[in-house]
Amino acid sequence: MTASEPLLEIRDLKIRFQGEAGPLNILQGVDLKLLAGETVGLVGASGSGKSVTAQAILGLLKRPPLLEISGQILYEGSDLVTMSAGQLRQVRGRRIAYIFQEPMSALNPVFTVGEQIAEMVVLHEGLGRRSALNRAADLFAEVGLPDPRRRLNNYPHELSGGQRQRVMIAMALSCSPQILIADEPTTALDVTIQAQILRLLKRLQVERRMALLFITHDLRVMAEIADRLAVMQAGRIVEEAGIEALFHAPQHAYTRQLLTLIPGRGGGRVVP
Amino acid sequence: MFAYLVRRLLLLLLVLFGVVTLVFFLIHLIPGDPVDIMLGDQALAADKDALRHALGLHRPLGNQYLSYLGDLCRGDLGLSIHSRRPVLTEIGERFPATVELMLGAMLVALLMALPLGIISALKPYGWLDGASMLISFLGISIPNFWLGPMLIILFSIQLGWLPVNERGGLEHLILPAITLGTAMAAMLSRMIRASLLEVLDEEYITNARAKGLPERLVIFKHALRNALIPVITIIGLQVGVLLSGAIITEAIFDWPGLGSLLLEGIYSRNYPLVQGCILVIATVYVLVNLLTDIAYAWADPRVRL
Ligand SMILES: Nc1ncnc2c1ncn2[C@@H]1O[C@H](COP(=O)(O)OP(=O)(O)OP(=O)(O)O)[C@@H](O)[C@H]1O
Ligand SMILES: [Mg+2]
Repeated sequence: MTASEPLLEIRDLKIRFQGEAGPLNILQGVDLKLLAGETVGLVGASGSGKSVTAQAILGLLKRPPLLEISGQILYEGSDLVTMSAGQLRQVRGRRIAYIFQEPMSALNPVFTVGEQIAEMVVLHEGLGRRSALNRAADLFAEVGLPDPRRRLNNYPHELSGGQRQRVMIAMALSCSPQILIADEPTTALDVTIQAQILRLLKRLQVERRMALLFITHDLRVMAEIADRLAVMQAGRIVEEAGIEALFHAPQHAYTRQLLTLIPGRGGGRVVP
Repeated sequence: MFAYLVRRLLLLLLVLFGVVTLVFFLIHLIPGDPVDIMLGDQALAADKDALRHALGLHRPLGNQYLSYLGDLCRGDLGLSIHSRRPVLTEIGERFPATVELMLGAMLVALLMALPLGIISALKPYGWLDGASMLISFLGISIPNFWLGPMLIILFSIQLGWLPVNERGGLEHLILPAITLGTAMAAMLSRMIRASLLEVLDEEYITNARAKGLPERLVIFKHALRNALIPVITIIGLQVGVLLSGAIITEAIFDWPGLGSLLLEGIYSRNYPLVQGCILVIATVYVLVNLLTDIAYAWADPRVRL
């Protein structure tokens, strides 16, 4: 694959949800490209459709509320939108992994974290349970969890918030995916922990040459982690540019407005 | 854990003391006494008095109560008034039949409720969900004393597939277990449906799918394991309902269990027997609740005893 050819390409993605008072146009033609090894930041106000876009990639939207989906999500030449459930399962977790915002609610409370990673490795790579657990322990070490062997037998509630998000990251890495989607992976964490998790994600992304689709509404975070930014507003991508270009010469009014919210820029201040 | 068990067992003793006391005075409030019933209305007063003395029933009630408690502490439940055999022996003969009936009913309930509840939750508001709701509604509203005879008429008398009465092999257990288990099945299936629906909305279920797990694992491992945790508590509470239902069911099917023994005891004002039966039933109830709590803690790693 050449560098210019996108690993993942979303074309004119339109999504309608069933609302209380009738159908809602949640996504109104989203176009987005993700190249191999790059980090694309998806920013936008709350409710602009970032999570819906991310979940649509892996076909995670439930019916209801999902009513209608059209457009294409091309991954390695096949369309994830029309792909069979069986084929899609080969992509989920294995080629494209997803990190949720709230590790506490995304981890199953009744299984050990070791088990929740191992089951995935057993399934996708046909490893035995013991080797799968060894893999999980190695991953725990890689994401900086102390005492990785012992962590295997911990239940989610026995870990701190930061540790849980590290577990989620380890889980996402477990089958060496090409693409990582992280939906606000740090918003649920303390500020100091946030910085650690960000650095960890960035490091892993570079080391493992993964493409990262990183969602946040914090532009400061983006400046640290992203190569390119896509700005989303009301179900559309309104601006897409390299991080430098976007910060220095924003084209769209909404982007300019977002930039004023960064302290030390344009005299704006941080809105709590 | 150990301290917890000790606390719960002390509580058990307290509950049993309360039950014994309550039952002792309540059954003496029921009009009629065992001597009248044994000897009949025509008997001579002298004969009645002699029997009363022999049974110790002439003593003041408080006196009888204290000596009953004393015996109880030594594990002696007294003698059955009529057969003069130890109450404990009579209960021991009947108890296994009741346990068999209740286990059978619980099995029936789970075998019906699990598939109904799961199917309903997977396709809520579909026609299968509607059908299962209707079945549950019927199951909850049909009383045992109607369902039992109906089953007998259909399967034993009309079709001749199953034996009518008494305890025996597995084929004897089927109809009583269905009679007793149906209401519980109906209740449980709605519970399982509601619980599973709630769990299916959790983010860890979406995450399980995002990991690429097949639906089979998503539902039967990740969702069901969580959905059944609250159901454990309901099953524990339902054991009390099953116990009271067993009394009626045993009467319908001539099932030689604790329930029919208790009824015989009440008809004949067999005080020690009635007290013994109720004591055993109360003990079972409290122990099952303890077991339920332990099972709950075992199923949910967030709960520590
Ligand atoms: N389950 C749902 N049912 C109905 N509407 C929904 C549902 N989930 C999301 N929406 C709607 O879809 C739109 C996009 O939501 P989405 O979660 O993608 O926003 P977001 O950009 O991720 O916001 P945030 O920054 O708050 O996470 C919103 O208007 C939201 O109200
Ligand atoms: Mg979101």
